Amino acid sequence: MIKPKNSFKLATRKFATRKGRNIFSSCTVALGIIIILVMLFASAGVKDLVTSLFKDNLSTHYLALTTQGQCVAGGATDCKNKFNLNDFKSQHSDTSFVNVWQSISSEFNYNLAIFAGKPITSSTQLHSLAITAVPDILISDFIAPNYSFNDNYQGAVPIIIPKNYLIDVEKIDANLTDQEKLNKSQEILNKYLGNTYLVGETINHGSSEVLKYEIGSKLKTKFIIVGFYPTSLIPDVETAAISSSIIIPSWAATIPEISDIYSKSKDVNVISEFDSNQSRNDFVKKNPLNFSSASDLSNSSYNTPILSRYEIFAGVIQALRGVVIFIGGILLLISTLFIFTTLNKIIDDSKKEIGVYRAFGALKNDIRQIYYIYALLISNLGFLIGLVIALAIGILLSLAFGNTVYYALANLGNNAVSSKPLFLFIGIPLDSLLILYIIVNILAILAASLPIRRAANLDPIQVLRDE
Amino acid sequence: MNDSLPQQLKEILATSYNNDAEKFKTDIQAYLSGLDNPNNTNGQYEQPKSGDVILNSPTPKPNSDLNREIIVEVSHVNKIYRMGGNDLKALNDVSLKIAKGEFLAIVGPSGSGKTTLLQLIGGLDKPTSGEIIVNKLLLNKLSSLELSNYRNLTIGFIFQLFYLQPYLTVTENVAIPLMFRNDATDIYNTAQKVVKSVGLEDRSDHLPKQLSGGQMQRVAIARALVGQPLIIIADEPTANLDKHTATEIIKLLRAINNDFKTTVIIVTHDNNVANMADRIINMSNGEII
Repeated sequence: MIKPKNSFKLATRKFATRKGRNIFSSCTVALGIIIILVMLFASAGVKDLVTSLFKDNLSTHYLALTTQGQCVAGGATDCKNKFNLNDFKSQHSDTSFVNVWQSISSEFNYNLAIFAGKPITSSTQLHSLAITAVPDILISDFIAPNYSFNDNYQGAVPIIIPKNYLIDVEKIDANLTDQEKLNKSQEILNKYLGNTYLVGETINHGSSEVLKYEIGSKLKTKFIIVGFYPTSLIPDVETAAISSSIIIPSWAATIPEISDIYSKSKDVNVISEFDSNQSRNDFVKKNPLNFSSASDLSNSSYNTPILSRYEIFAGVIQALRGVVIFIGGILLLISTLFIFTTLNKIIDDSKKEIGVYRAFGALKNDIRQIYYIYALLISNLGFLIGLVIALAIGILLSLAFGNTVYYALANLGNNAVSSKPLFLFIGIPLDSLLILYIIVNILAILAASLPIRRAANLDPIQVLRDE
Repeated sequence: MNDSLPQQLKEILATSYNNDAEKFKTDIQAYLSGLDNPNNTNGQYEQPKSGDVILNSPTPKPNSDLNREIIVEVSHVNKIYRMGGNDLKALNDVSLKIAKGEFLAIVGPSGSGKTTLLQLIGGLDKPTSGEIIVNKLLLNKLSSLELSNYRNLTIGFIFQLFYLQPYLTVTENVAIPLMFRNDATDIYNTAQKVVKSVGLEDRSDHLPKQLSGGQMQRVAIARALVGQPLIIIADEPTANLDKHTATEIIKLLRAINNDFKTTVIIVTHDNNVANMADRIINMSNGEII
C-alpha cells in the first residue's frame, strides 16, 4: 500500500505537468465558488453591520423619552413594545465609541468631533432618531462655569440643550436687548418644550458670552439650562436627535413631572442618563403610562420593533443569499462535470502509466489514492482561486458601493451610526466557509469516482500488449 | 563512454563495426575469454564487491551450472484470448523450467507467444489452463492483491519503451517499486544508490526527456532492480536502442545476473543479444520449439 506522502508526490508531480488543463478545471470549480463566496462574504459583512447598528441603538444606561410617547429606540411605535437592553450590553465598549464618534464627524460631516475634544473615557451610546445620550465628560466643555450637569439647583432640573435654540433667537435680531432675546428664546423653547417658563442671565463660556436660562413650566418643575451643546453645523437635524434633544441628569429623570415633558412637547427628545439599569428600571416603573411595565425590561424580553426590523434585514439577506447560493451551487455542480471530464481525459492519457504502476506492484487502492489526490488538487486549487478572487471582488465592491450601502442601511435601520467597517462586503463566515470547502471536495471526489474506478480496474497487461 | 570501463572493452565499444555483428561478437568473446583467465594481463577482472558500480563490472561469463534450484516452473500452460468472439490461442501447452540465477533468452517471431509467456510469469495475467509456479507460489491461485504483492516483491519489469514517468526525476522513477511497498524506508537513498550503480549518478535529478535512449533504459533497469527482485523480466529491452547501446544494456543485465544472482528472462528478436544468455528458447505459434 502506497504511503500518502508518496501518492501525494506522484499526484502533485503529475498535476504540475498538466498545468493548463488542471488550472482550467480549477477555474471552472472556482467560478461557482466565487459566486457563492462573494455572496457569503457580502451577506456576512452586511449582517455584521446591521447587527452592529441595531446593537448600538440600545444602551444599558441611557433612556430617551420621546415626544409622542415613543419608547427608546423604537421609532414611531407605542410604548407597549418590549425592549431588551441587556442583549447588547456586552457589545458596547469604550474604545469603539471613539471610532464611532469620529466616523460620524467624517462620514456625515457632522461637527460632533468637538465633543471629542477631550479623551473619551466613558461609554457612550450614540443616537438614532429616537435616542441620544451623552455622558458628562463629553458635555462638560459646554456647561457654564460654576454649574454642574448633575447638581440640583434649588429644585430646578439642570438641562443641557442644543445651541441652535439660541441661534434661532440670535437670528431674529442681533440688536435685541437681552430681555427681548430672553422672551424670544422662551417663545422658541415653548415651541419645543410646551408651556415653559424661562428666566436667564448671561454667563461666560470660554471666549464667548452666552445666556444662562432658567426655564420653568406650569408643571411646577423648573429647569435650569446649565449649558448648550453646539449643533449649528449639523446639516440635517432629523438624522441627529442630539440636535433636538434636551439632556437631563439621571436624578432629574426620576422627577415625576419631567415625564410630562414629552407629553407636552412635540419635537423634543428628553434624554436622561441613568447610573444603572436599576435606576432606569425604577424610572420606568414610576412611569407606567409610558412603558408597559417594569417586567418588560427583564432580560428575557425584547424590543419588538427593533427585532422585527432586524429580522426583516436578516430575512432579506437570507433570501438573497439563498438565491445566490442556489446559482453558485448550480455552477458548482457544472464544475464537477469539468472535473469528471478532466479526470477522464487524464486517465485516458495515463493508461500506460497506470499499467506501469500496477506492474510494479501498485494495488488498485494505490491507484485510487493517487488519482483522488489529483482530483482534490483540482478542487483545492479551485477553492483557493475562488477564495482569492471572491475576496478581491468583495474589496472592490466595498470600495465602490460600501459607503452608499452603509448609509442606506443606517437610515433604513433608523440608526445613525455605528463604526463603518473597512470593507463592508467582507465578512468571514468561518462555518459557511468550512462547509463550502467540504462540499467542494466531496463534489470533486464524487465527480472523480467513476474515472478513478476505471483507472483502478485498468488491466496492467494493457501496457505490454500495446507495445 | 564510461571512463572506468576496461581499456580493452572501451576499444571494442569504440570500434565502428558497420553492422558487422559477427566481428563484434568475435571481439567480445575474445575479451570475455580473456576475463576467464584469472591470470589475464589486463588484471581488470575481479569479483564484484558490495557497492561496486555494476556498469564497471566486466561482462561475466555465461552461467554454465544450471543444475540449480528451479525458480520458475511453467507446466502445460495454455493461454487463449477471446477477441471479437474469436478465440486466439497465444500459448499452446507450454512447459518450461527456469533455474534460479539463470539468464534466459526467449526468441521467436512476432506473435509467437513470448510476450504472453513473460506476462504470465510476471503475474500480469493468468493462464487459461496449466500451472505457473514461481518461487513456490502457484500464480494461478493468487488474488489480484496477492499478484500485486508478488509483482512488487518478486518481479522487476523492463519494457521496450522504458515507460519512465516523464514528470519524475531519474531517482524518483527508480524509486517507484519501493513507493508501493508498505515497509520501504529511505526509498530515495536506496534508489539513489541503484542509480549510481547503473552509472547515472550525475543524472539522478534529470527528467527522462533529458536522457538518451540508453540512459533511459538504464534507468528502467535500475527501477527493475531497486526492489531486489528474484526475477527480472525484460521484454525487448534493446529493440529501441542502437547496437552499441544495446550491447551495454545487455552487459549491464548480465552483470546484474552475475552479481546478484538475479534470474533474468529476456525476450528479444536480436540473436546477438540472445547469444549472450545462458540458454535460449525459441517460440513459434505459441509453442516452445
